[in-house]
Amino acid sequence: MTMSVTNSDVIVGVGLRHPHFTDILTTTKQIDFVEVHSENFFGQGGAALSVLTQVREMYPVSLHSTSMGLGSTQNVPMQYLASLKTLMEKIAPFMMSEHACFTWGQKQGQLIHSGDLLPIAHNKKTLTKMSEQVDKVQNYLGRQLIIENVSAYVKFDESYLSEADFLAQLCQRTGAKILLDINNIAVNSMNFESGDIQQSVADYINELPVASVAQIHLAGCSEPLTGEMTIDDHARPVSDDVWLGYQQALTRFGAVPTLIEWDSDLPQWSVLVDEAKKARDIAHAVLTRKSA
Amino acid sequence: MNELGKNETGRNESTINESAKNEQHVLLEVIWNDESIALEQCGFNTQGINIYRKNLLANAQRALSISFPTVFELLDSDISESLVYQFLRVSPPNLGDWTQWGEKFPHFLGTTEVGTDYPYLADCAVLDWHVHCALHGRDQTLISSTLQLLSEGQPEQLFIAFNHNVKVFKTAYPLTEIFQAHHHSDELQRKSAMSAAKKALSEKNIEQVVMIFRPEFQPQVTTLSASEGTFMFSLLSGQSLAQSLDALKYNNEFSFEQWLFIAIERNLINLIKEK
Repeated sequence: MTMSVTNSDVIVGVGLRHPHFTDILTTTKQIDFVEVHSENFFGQGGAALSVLTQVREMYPVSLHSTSMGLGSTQNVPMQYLASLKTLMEKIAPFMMSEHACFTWGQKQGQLIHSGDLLPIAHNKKTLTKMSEQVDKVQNYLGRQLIIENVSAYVKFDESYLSEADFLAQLCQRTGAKILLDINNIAVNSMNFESGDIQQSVADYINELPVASVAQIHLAGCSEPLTGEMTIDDHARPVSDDVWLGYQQALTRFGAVPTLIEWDSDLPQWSVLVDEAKKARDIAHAVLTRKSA
Repeated sequence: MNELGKNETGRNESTINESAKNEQHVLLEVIWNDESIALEQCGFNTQGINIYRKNLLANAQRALSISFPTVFELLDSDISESLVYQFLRVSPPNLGDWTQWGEKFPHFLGTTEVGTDYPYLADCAVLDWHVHCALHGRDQTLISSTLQLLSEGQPEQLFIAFNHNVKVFKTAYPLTEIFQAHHHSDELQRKSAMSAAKKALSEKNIEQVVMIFRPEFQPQVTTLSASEGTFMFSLLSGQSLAQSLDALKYNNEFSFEQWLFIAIERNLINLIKEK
């Protein structure tokens, strides 16, 4: 499965979740690729893996992992990596991504998985350790990784680099690329900064080298209650602020593959397809204007 | 300490080495430890920690309710939430895949008050877990060429290798009926299974041999007769075909030919092999 784009075109995909398996296999092709969560297909067989294999015949697939925990002080367990490699060999994804977070730790001497994307301290120590892990994983898989910025609900006092600077240095050290999640910047802006999302996105993307971003994620989240933090629940359409941030990102980074993410309160497949079409239209307008 | 040992903010790098590791440990500890004192002393944003705590419990509850659908149908939501909370503490996930988490849940249930009050819950959980594993298990079909051994080989030298998704176990509860009462696609069948389950639970000295198998992608659950159970247990324990048939020599009801036909139809057998 190959993809070709012109300078004013962006390939746009959708995060594929279980309730939409039938839709994607039975409807006309209206998106360019799909992204799935790797861990959902770690089983040795069964219906889900069979569906993914069929989807792979129709669409390029991006494997998005959520449990690798590249920023953990613990090493990524080999059992996890072996499962990921087996899946990679079956599916031949066109991209493989993970998050700049930690997930592994110890409790009473036993390895545990946090079950969530926990934030990391953005400093040289974490950068060194995470670079080692990214190198190790890329060598083991024989593939480049794309690393995503995360939304967070706590911050480490030990951070003294911005996340953007951290990711830029990580990519320079390891050859990995960045998966820029505009909604995560928006969530962090509302939870920890001024809430001026346009400014937060501008500050963030201006710290990233132009060639460093390999994919963009777009998502929406529920409105927080007054005085509460915004939770990145991927339960709503992409917000106006995130669409504006997307335009800023396209202006800086050009035609970057883009994905619509929706994980909770899933709408009908056609709603996701419409969101993908909107992304494509916006990208076409921005990139046409840019090249004029 | 010379200036090379300091970072941009003037902090000592070796101190940060330890503290960075420690910070992750502290964050994990405070998320997993619900004592308010831990929250007060951790230095993290209270609202943020509570979001991670709620996410953890919600993710765990979602994972277990998918892996143990019968058990979660049987439990009230407040009880199930409490059980998930306790189980997270005694058996935290360690594989990075929620789907694979829960193998010890049946045993854990047996140690709880609700497990004591409703002793069939733990066995329901065993059944749910086998079905869950079969759903994601290796795709296997019969290597039909090996069937020829049945006509050519000596039964003393023949062994049956079952598909990995086939599981057989004994229980003192009407598990098949309880399972069908919650999962059969037909409502009338569900009601009928529920009545049968209630009736059987009121009786004493039930013994059921339950089998999980996967003809294609959807695992199935059935009850085996006593003779089928004896035969399957014998084969699964590595006994030869002759030894397994011998275990049924006083049972006139059992027909190997009939069993073989159904076994092939149900995709139980991977291959026949000679010692």
